[in-house]
Amino acid sequence: MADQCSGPRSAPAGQGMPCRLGLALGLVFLAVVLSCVAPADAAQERTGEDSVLAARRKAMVDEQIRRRGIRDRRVLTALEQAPRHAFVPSSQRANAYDDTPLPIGYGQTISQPYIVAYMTETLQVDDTMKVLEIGTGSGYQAAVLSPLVRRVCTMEIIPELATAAAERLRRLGCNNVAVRTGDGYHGWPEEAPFDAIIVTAAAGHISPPLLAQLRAPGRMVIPVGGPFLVQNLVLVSRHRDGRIETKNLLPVRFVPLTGAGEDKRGP
Amino acid sequence: MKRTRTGIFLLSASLMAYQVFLVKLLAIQYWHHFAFLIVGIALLGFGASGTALVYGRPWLERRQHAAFLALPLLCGGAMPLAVMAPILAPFNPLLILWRPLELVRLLFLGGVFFLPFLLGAMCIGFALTREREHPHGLYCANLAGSGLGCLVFLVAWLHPPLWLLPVLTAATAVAAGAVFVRTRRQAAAAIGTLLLVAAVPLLPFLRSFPFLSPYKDLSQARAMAGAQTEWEQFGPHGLLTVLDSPAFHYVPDLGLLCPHPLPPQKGLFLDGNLAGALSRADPAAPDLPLLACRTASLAYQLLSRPHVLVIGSGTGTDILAARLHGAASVTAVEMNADLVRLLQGPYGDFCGHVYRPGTLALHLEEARGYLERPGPAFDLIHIGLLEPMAATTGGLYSLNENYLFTVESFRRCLRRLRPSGLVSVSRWVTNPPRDAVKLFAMAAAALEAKGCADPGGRLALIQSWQTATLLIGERPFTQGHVDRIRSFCTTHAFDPVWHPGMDPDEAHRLHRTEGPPLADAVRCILSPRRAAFLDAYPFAVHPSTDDRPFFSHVFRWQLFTQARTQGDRAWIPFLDWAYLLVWASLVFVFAAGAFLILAPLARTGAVSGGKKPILGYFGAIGLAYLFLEMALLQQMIRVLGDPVFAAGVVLGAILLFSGLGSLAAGRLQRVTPGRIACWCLALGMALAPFLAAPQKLPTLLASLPLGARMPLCGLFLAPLAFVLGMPFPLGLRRLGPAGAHAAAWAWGINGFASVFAAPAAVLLAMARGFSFVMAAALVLYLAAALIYLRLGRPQETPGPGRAQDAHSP
Repeated sequence: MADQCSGPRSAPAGQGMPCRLGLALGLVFLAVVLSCVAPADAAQERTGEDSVLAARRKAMVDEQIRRRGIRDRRVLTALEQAPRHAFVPSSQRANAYDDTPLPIGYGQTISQPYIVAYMTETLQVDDTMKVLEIGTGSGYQAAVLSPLVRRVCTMEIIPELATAAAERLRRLGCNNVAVRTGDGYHGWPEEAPFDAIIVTAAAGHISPPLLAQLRAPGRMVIPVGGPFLVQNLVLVSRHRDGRIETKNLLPVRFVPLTGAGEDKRGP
Repeated sequence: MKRTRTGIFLLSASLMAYQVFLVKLLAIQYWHHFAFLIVGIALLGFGASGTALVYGRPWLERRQHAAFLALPLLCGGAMPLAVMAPILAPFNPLLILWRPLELVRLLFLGGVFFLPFLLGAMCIGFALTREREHPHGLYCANLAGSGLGCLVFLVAWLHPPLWLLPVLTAATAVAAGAVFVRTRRQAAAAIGTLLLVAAVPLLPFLRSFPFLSPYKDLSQARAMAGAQTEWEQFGPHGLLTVLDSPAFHYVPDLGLLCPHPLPPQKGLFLDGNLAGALSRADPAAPDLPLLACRTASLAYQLLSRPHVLVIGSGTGTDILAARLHGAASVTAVEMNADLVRLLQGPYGDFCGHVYRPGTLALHLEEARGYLERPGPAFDLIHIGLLEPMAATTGGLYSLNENYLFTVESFRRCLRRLRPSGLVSVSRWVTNPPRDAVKLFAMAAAALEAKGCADPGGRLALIQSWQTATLLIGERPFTQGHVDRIRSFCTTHAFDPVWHPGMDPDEAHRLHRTEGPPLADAVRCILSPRRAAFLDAYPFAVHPSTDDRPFFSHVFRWQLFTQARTQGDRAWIPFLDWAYLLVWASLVFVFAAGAFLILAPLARTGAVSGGKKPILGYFGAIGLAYLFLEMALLQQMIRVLGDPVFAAGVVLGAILLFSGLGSLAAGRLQRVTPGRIACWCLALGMALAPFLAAPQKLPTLLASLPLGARMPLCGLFLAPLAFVLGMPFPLGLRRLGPAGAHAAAWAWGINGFASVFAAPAAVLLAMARGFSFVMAAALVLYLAAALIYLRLGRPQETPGPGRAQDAHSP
């Protein structure tokens, strides 16, 4: 589980290689030590549990995400690898791979897996990009993005959540994720510009400073709805010529009753 | 006898006040439609008390003195449990659709609330069954006490701490028990219970009362770094909170290209829901230039130095916007007087003294009431965003009657315009389009009702990424207007959706939707295909009217069917859970009623006169009474201009005059078919004005001050309420001297019907309108009149209560 999200699969040459080699060696050493220290049956139990969880994760991706039309293989792989159960409170672990949003404390939620996948696919990221996330929450969205992009900067206004997410992401080896406690309204000027911005916290309006930190071309995604109830995603696109457009996306397939041709999906 | 009446009077007052308190408390802790469901469960206590009496009356009879003392004391002692229940079961209503296990917590809450109703209603029912031959005085005490309990609405004007209400309510129940004290030991029990109840506020964990759900806007805002509650007060409109947080930013309809920085803001919350933002404005130069970058500012591009009416002025943003655009005068209508006082007092400096007397004409009342009255004409009537986005998408207000967003209300607005004046209305953009489509259809209908053959010529609609603003013109828009609309949209990156002579390709250039475009829907509304389009649309977007004033209710069952057929949980957010919860509460109340009331009662063997007439008669009058109460409440909201006033006046007047009706019924020695016919005639005559001309009363009384309207409303209701107070005690008396068992049965059936009637009336009104609800009530009363003749015919056979019936007084 430790190396689920250690940055993009094909990082640019010369970036992060020594670091990753060192990390891999360290992990091998750690694994050897642990295998000597831990009782054999506990290790087997954990492996068994891991494989059960991995199977549930795969089922989640197949049944909840792929079936609903998410096609980006990199996104699907990232979701198969991100241990969602590690991002929910222990009381919710049994439900971690269910087709539901889950509470994570402080009135915040971790979105339904499909919504996470849909938002991630909508961003159209690649491994050269730097992404800003507003609303770290448990850190799950950042963990999903981590292997897909060069760097994830994520901000959380609730200090307790930010601290817990930073620790969790560090433990899982998401080394390309930086967590900051702060007000997402002002963005992260020191790291700007960003190729993509994902606002996972409720937004009263699109913050002008945040929009200014979006590179041209760039994409910003904002969910619309209440807690547990994401209805739409608003995709804000900044074009090369500086033009800004929005598109209100529907995460569900509306069978057209008016003949207006509304059963398309995807940006 | 006198002692019993006093006790029942106090206990009834306590139970009604407790019910009112629960509705408010649950609206604050969760959301108001959950209050509906939970109180429904709680009120089942009334129905279940009938069952308890059928089985337990012999036991109670043997201990009647102790019972009259113990039941109110236990009832009062159980009331404060409501305050602590959310700690014991942290129910998360938002998860109920995802995880049915939350139902267990909901049932626990319902159970805690159920207990005081069961115990209190057992006491009242027990007294009524004992006095069934002369129940009129007791029934009058019951109704009058309930009427007094409604006055708890008025206590809110004194801004008491919220925790005081359950304590007062419980103390009243204990006082009801104290009336029956006969010995020192009993007095000690009463004093002990009172002390216990009075000690509740001292519990240390009550400091964070009322324990808001962590998913309410206020809870989430409080969790932000640096956030702190600055000011909080409970009043007639709810719990008003001001939160200071450096991370609070809220200007929802701001254009994407706005170059102006946001001023420092504070969050304003009502009952824990976001109600807007207080923006810092300099009293010397309170202009906030960013307010010009909102879709809502479109109207000001077409008018010069307008006289503006701001409806729902709230935090004063739209007043500042009017001043920014050089309004010649500003008139503001705001229902929440506490909010205005807040901005005139402690936050006056912060908000640039937006409500400073002398700078505007201020009317503290509900907007529709203001529009009904004759008054000055305006160049612009401005209706801004009146509720937050999450409320719109979540169906939070779908059960709320909204008399501002009806065809009749828009016609009133048009009548209050000067020549070339405009009505400007802003709503959230939803996908698929819902609110904006309904709004446009309503505006078109209002213009047509005014005699305008081409409504499209007087309508203009623009949108940003999340808000839409509609202009309704008193005159057709000119080419000059259209040019200014286009120019405004270009400057602020808005899209025109409709204006006269618009090329369809002009729409949705910057703000597109994946789904049916709003512009297409608008064109369909203006085409001859309108009716077919509205019928076929996946959401209910027919114009709302005064008879069906549910603007936010857009849910259609076909959506539910579609979600179920596709088996896709991503649909859940699109389901209107407020509406579905009313259905759920109806089904639940029926099932629980069948289990707790009907099934046990059905097994009890024969009762005097047979069960069917009792079921029919007491069921019909229980349903009909509540139907009328709810429909009349709606009519009076428009007359009184305030739902809180209306609830106090309508419920208070109906219960009080029904009590008098009950007393008068006691004087009738015999009830002949002729007298029944007279009663039916009197009912028809008393109901006719409300049924035949529901628009007249608001118009007739509109010009009078509130102080005069309140007693007049009470007087209008008096004859009807007087007539409605008769059937229950007459029916009870008809059951005869040997019918104590039957009387308990009747009490249970009547309670069950009343509980069932509340959600049923709302659903009927949403489907068919409030006039239909009234007509249904009339039919039910007429049916009850026919059944009356079959009620209590002799041939009693033994049942569980039979042995005692023979000895009961």
